[in-house]
Amino acid sequence: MITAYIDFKSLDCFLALDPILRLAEDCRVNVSWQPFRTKERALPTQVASESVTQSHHRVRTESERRLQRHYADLRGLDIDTSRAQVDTSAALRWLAGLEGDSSLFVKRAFSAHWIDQTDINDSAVLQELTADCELSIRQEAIDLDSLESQAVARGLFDAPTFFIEEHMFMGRAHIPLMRQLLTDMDCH
Amino acid sequence: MHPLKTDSPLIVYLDVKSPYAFVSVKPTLALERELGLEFDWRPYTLDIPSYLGSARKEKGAVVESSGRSPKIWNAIRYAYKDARRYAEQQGYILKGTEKIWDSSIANMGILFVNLYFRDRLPQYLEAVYPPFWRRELDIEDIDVVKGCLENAEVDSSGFDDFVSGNGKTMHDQILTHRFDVGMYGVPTYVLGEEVFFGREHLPYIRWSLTGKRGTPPDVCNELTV
Repeated sequence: MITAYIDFKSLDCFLALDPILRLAEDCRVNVSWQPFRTKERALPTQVASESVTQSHHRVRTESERRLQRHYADLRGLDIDTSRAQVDTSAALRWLAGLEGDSSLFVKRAFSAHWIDQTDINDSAVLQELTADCELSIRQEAIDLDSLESQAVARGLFDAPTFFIEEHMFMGRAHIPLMRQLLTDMDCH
Repeated sequence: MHPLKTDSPLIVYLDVKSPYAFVSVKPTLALERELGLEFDWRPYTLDIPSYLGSARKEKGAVVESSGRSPKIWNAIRYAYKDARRYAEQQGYILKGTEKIWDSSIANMGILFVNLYFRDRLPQYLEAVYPPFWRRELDIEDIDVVKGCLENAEVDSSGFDDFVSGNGKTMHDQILTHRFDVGMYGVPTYVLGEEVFFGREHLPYIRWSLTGKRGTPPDVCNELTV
């Protein structure tokens, strides 16, 4: 089993989706999708008296955006990066309440947010997606803050983050090592 | 020295005190060999406290810390743990550091070898990185760095003058202009006008340097033995 912490508004999470689903299919394991809100900052503006810390964070954010865009372009995805600024907390809360394998729901929700530019916080949209994926939802209230505190206690600091048992992997670049780990587990 | 200008097909920026740079060395050298090219290896000495806060450890325990939130601590712990598992895959040992080192002299060693003893570069990287990460080297001591140069069969007689003259000038020029050219960490790869942070871009760099044939690869930390 792979546990995947995601945020719908994170382009890195969207770009990780297909590779992780492919890995899960190849290794015949399920994915448990969990919410973790990322901080998707707007691009900082360079100011005249910028400190080293401010310069570092500005250049880092610019670089991360540029590289996200680079790999989205390579896949032929037409992406509006401003979608990263659209809060998707309600959709994440909904995800945490779903019962059953929510992979199809996650795939459709990401596509709705990033490709169709649909408001996935809208409960009608969420209900329709849930029904289309033949899932049910628990009725109790979901406290995202509490779920995220538990995740931080587990070592999380950003998303996408994946766990295979106690092994933590931040980002999709680790798929070869995750594959090796899953293969070794299968062999033993 | 302009940080993005070179006659080489690729510039590689490293810092000896970076665990992620350490685990990038082997796959980057492997790519260089595989393609039969000569990359331009340069130093970029990180100013870690400016973006991650600072801390000092004694006997494995943190005795001083400033500017680090729980998430930043998680990120730092993860970075070491993550680099350690890849280092082990490569046959190395990676121990957490007790302090933030001034790696500028050891980094100027990269520049020195790259400029004057290019064929010894893999040997110098091997002489400095693995022992430093086993906590066996004081890289702030110029005589220790000269010892690494000698271990790599590099004549270190001109190194003192290099560190106080040209080497320092070039090293500092890179730092002065790093943000202007979009660099903020190591390893950084400069491919033409494109700047990539992280070894996960090596598959794209390979694809690009070999004529961009077939499907473009995604980011990936390749497993290197």
